[in-house]
Amino acid sequence: MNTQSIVKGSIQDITKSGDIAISIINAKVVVLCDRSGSMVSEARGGRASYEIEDDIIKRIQGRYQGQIILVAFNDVAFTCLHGNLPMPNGNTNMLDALDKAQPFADMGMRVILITDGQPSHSEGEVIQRAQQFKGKLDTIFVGPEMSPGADFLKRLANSVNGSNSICDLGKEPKLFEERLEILMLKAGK
Amino acid sequence: MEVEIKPSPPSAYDILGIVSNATQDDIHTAYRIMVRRYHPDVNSDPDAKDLFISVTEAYKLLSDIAQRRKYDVVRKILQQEKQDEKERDQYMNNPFVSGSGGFAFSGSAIFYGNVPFGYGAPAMNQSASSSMP
Repeated sequence: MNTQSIVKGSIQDITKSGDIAISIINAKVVVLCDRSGSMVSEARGGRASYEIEDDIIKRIQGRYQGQIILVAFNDVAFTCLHGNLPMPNGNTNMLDALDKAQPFADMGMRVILITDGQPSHSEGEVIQRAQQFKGKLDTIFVGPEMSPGADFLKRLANSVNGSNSICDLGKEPKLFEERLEILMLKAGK
Repeated sequence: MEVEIKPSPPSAYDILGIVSNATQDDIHTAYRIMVRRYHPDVNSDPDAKDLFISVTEAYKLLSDIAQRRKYDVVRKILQQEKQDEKERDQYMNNPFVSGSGGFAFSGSAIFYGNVPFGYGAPAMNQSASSSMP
């Protein structure tokens, strides 16, 4: 285990020395972040998509303290309670990400799925699994608008009555941050 | 790489001195006993006030059935993640494991030295394709 800094406003940060389970049940949103290999592609000014995403996710955690359960996914999904996302690597296992979010969604939390790619599993399987999030799942596509993943994510969001936005991190990082902020506000209502 | 080992903080169950499948009656009884022991009016120990606050918070949580259910689910998730991390560490320490690329096993992820590679890395999940994301 690497000793990492704890991001301000992350679940671990607001827990200090207490029981982290209590902080988790008081969170409002599960943010599922794609950390597959494609996120290393250069997006803007010599910076990769994942670096831009990292900065924004950290800022949002700082603004919405203790409200976000951060989950990273690539070959598998795992929570990042300290608020740091791992280096991108491997595939895009959206099924595992959705499974990870399920118990939190059952507690009434909203789910935001952020990705720049298509799932490693069949699209039909992912859409089917997502049906348990009806009215609770929103998506943000962070790759180029013309990518095949953009269309898939739109269909996924539509199938669960959620919203979908396309915010190319290379072109519109600000838009991504604004969109995320809107979804956080929506979850707080 | 440093390993940071921190003792787990006590759970709400630990604070009230009850087991995790305690009934609501057990919770009320434990709370009454703890209040008599740690209420600042009856206990002059400087730590008593903090203990009393912890006991009250634990009681508030566990006596609310819906909140307790959520709490129990989260505790299970955290235990599972701890177990996954342990398996991951054991796997990493296996001298027969080569150190390149990324892979997955039993619900855990492996990252090697923060190297951003791993396209087409072998995933043990049979249903996942190994194509580019």
